[in-house]
Amino acid sequence: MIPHARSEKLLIQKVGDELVIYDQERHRAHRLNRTATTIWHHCDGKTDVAGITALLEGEFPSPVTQDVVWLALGQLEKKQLLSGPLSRPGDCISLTRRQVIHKLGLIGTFTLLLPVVTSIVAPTLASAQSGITRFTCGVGMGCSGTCPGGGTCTSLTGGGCGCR
Amino acid sequence: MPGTTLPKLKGSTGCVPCMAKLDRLEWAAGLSFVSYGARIGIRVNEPAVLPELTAYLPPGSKLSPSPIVDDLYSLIHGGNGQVASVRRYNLLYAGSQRLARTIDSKEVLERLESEMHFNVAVRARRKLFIHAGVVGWHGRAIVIPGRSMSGKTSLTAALVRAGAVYYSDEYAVLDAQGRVHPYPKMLSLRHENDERREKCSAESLGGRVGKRPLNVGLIVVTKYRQGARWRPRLLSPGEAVLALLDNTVLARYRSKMALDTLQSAMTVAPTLKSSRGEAEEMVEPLLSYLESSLTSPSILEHTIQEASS
Repeated sequence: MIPHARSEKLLIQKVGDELVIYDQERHRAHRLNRTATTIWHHCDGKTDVAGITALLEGEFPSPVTQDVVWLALGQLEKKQLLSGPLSRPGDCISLTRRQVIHKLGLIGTFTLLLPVVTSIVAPTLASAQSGITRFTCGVGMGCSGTCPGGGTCTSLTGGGCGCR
Repeated sequence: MPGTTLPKLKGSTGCVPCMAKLDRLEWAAGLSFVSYGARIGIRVNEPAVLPELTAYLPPGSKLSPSPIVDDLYSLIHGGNGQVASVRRYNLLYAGSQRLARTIDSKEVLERLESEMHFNVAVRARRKLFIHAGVVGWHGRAIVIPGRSMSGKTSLTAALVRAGAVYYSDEYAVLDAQGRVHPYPKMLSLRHENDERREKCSAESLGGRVGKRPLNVGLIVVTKYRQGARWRPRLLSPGEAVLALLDNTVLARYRSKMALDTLQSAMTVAPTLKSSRGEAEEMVEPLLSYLESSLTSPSILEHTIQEASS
């Protein structure tokens, strides 16, 4: 299995040791902690899981096994940050974070070295304000006008056009 | 001059079906203004309302000599009808869309004010607007991101009462360098037991309003919960960006600008997260934390690195 990080329609921002990735297709923002960031960087379409594990061993003080890499890849796949679906080998069981902690016998701060991907859904114009704001758009052109900030001009209940 | 020229919607030819009915009404006065690049117009059927309206304009508004605007609000002042016992409704429209219909003229003005603030946040070209309360302390900004009802105004007010400089209870306005600019609208404090709000100035709380942009010194991600204790966790820089992005008005539409700006804003600012109890209990811990982080930046850098890992 050779994982490949997705690159289309993603905005990638390095913040300290971490990455914040904005998915312009799904309007979700993801934060990858240091370990997940390192694994993401190694998902180059050339290095297999064993290779990534070997590369990580030199970079982290805690024990790194393929379970850790699979844990990260599982999260990245779930958030649709890989270019294709993962094909796990037959003998590879998908472990949860808790199972990995238990299996590796991680305690205390070492658990913080496990890969974590946290996400939010970017707020829409409507959810960014309590109440509803109507921006006039499409005056005289049906509802095909331009909305501030790239919102969508749509017809509103009760008539007229507004931005959503 | 307000009142002399009626504002006109950009792109409107005057014969647009959905606007025609409104346009046909007798508009007695109006004003056009620009705030953070947003060109907004208001027209009213009653000239006497216009002076009262100016108190509701967004901070930094400058009256515009051009009547052409991007967004046009139409306010029909109800007042008293011909029969003394009959009251007419106050009506507010944004473009052709009715926003409010109420006999309470104050309610309609507050709705108009809220709409205009949000309009400015969306139309602003060079600034990023984040839902947040902001105060200044020792030359740094404390930013409290949160949506409506999260308690950011009450915490902002408590900090102002304690001597912090007021910047905003609604929006943190960030420039490309990540500095926070003042957006000092009147504070809108909720009554304890109902939805009514009371407006008050920073001066009435014994504070003053900030004038110059500040670098971010501390970000506080919190929400009021009755009886909660303040047990803050230091967020990593990535988590902090996510927390701010979650409250960014145009996160979805100007995501690149938002990410660049947020990274600049909080590269060296610690971010604390916890539920909180009463706002007054928060003042001392927050101000002390900011002061200690300013005096011991190396310790702060270390703790942020720990949060990252």
